[in-house]
Amino acid sequence: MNGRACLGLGRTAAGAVALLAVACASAPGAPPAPGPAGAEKQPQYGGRFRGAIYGAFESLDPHHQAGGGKGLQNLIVYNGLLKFAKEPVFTADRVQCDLCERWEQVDPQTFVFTLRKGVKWHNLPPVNGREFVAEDAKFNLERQATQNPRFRSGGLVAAIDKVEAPDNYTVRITLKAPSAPFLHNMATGWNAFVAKEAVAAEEDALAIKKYHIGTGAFVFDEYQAGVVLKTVRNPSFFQEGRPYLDAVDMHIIPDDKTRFAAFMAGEVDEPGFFVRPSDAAEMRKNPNLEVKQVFMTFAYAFAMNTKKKPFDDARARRAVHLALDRQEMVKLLAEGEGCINPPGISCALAPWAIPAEELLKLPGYRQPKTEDIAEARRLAKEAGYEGLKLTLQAYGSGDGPDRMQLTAEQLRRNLGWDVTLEVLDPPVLTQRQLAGEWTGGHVPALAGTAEPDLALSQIQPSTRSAQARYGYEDAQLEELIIKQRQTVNTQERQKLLRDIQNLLLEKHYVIGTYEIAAYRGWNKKFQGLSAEPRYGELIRWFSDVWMEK
Amino acid sequence: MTGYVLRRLLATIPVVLVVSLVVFVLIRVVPGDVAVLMVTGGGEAAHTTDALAQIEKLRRQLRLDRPLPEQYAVWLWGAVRGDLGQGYWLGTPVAQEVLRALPVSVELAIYSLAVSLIVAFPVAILSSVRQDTWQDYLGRLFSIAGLAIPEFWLGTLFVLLPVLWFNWIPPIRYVTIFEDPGRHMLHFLFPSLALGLSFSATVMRLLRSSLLEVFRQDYIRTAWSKGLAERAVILRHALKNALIPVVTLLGLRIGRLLSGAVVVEVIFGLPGMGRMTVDAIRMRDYPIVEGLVLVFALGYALVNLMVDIAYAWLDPRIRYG
Repeated sequence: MNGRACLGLGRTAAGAVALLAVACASAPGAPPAPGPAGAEKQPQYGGRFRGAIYGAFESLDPHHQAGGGKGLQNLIVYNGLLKFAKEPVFTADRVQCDLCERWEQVDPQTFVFTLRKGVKWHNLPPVNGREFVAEDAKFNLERQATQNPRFRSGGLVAAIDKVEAPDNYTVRITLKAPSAPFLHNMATGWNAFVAKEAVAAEEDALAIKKYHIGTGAFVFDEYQAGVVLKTVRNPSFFQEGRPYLDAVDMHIIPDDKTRFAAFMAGEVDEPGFFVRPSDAAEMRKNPNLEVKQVFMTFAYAFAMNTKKKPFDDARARRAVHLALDRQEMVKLLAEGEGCINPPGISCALAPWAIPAEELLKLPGYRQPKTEDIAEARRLAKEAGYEGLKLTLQAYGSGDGPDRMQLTAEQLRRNLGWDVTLEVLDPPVLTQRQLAGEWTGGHVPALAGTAEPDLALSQIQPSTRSAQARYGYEDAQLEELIIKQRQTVNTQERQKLLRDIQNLLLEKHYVIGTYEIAAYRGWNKKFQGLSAEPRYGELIRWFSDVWMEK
Repeated sequence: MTGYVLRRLLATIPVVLVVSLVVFVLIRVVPGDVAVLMVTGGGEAAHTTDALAQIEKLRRQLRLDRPLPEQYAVWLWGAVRGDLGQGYWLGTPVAQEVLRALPVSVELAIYSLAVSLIVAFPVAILSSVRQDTWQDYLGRLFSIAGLAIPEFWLGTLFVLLPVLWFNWIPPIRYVTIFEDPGRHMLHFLFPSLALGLSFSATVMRLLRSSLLEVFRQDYIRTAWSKGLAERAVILRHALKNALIPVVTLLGLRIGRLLSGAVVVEVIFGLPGMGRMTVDAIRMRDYPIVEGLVLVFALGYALVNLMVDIAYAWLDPRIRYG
């Protein structure tokens, strides 16, 4: 396999991609060559981008992070072995070299990366601009694989058996087994490379990072906790002529309305995590703003404790599946703009997800719901749960309570159950889930990237977390999840993922609900920005962003 | 007086100890500790599939598996020596974090109190002097509106309305006074107005009723009978005596502003102690919470002492042995 990804998904991918936002308005990649009048704009140097995020950074160490719309923007100072190609955004196979020049898959379990020469760490003490070499890549991949509980990105390197650095510019990675998500996991923004001199000893859980030293297009300048993260242009960036911007600041503005108002008034250059359709309509009125739609990939689902009544009974689970009205959820919770999830996978991840035209004909998903509701009631009665009094749990953050309120209302209406809600602080509910002391509710997000394995690993029966939370054992599901992870051939993997979804549609361990469509916006004077909803995927392309003066 | 002040300062110590102990225990017995949050991200997608083992490991590393009395003793010993520890998430010293947020909250408290007093005093005086006239009714209407309108709603209006009408927003990106004095002061203007106007209604009502009571006193009647000017009667004689309950209220308000102006701080992007407290509780950053609580307890004690001293200044009959 050559250094350019060649795992194209075919016609189905093209059709699926049409559903997704096309990325940026301007041409990606290298600046266009000078041309006649009317030709593409020439990138200009200078300017400061003022981003906005909704919460303070949990940690400035990228290996401590693994998700969330905040705390990703510090990734701008780092690179990794690979990165995602800019378009289309949600296709896991479109990876390309970042710190490498090329890579080669020697056999199904072995990858050899040839690094770029002359890449320098940021010129900050104690690293002081030395060259990035293979040992640094080895250090980072092994660091994430250590069982330090703060390293939430450990799953990204779980497939790796060993990393070798036979010389300064060669990294040889041997996997435990063939791994379909491997290249995606190497390309994601969280798999960032930090300078080993700058991190404290691993046994210290409170490792204090004094400098955020990477090789990225921007250099860490200052972090005022709760206020702003400032980065400045890296004059020694390995891509000649990049970056174009002088600085990128990420302002922490916790309140959604304030953040949006700040963007509309030009106080910041983009509105933060994502914007709802109703706010996007306001944005469109301003001709100076670029507005793009993106579908999230949270794989929202309703999950249950299958070790406790009533959800230890498959009939009760199926009754819930039939009773839930996903179209109503999209209408009321996603302002009519979203798609409906099959179980375990986000509907935005075509072609892995069951296509909508198929899914919406299935029981539980189809409209009108008359037949499904009748069957749900019959099943509930048969299982002895007619008129059941039930307490469900909701995560007390974001739109968690809203989702559960609507779900409870649907169960009351369609099943005749007497449902009450416990709205709990997220860590409280998580702790109760891990202790098996919960009944059921929406999980906040199974995933969030283009790689379906992330969501599936959360519901894999043999993992202790899934066991503790959901309690089911299913050898067939286990086998399928492992097999899809190790199947690199796309068509074969698609079939396996379809089998998984069909199995979940039969057993209902998790029940797919809906996915939201949201909007990204930015000031049009900035060229090269992407509609990707969370910077973790494409943060390294900030090197190509420029400001029109 | 000096003896009294010293005795009050000494009495602060057991109060602060009890408060710190109660908060220390409470935050640690709340389910969903920092280890759960760090490993699982509060339930959000994480790449960890063996969360249980990781959580236990992290609890041992953070010494959260130690008995509570031992944890408290370690923290207390550090606090006595001036070491409040490090925040769990960023690893920065707690004292550094608290000292970063303290000036912001103090500034907000001072400016909003100033707004309250500047608005409340003239309205209350006019309303009480012109009792049952249209000026009085207007003043009381103002106070009822101020009591009814939540300060956070007012704050939201101050952000959204300028954007809608003028395509302008008050500054919400915080800069220190040394970076940009003009922008810094402008940043505090609107949150101070939101907090100050809201509180001025309370001050106005209390001062008005206090003045009305003072106006009925014999010495005020005597002052009028002597032919003193209205200004002298009100400002020199009546107002000082009417201020005692208001001073009590101001003392309570200062304490609340230092710790509880979180919503306004969030709306306006001010990195004050209220916002830091809520964030630290949400993130289960125990050392930060404990450090902040220490500051709040000391702050309340100090403010109460200053209120008591102010009583003595306002009313010479009050003397402390």
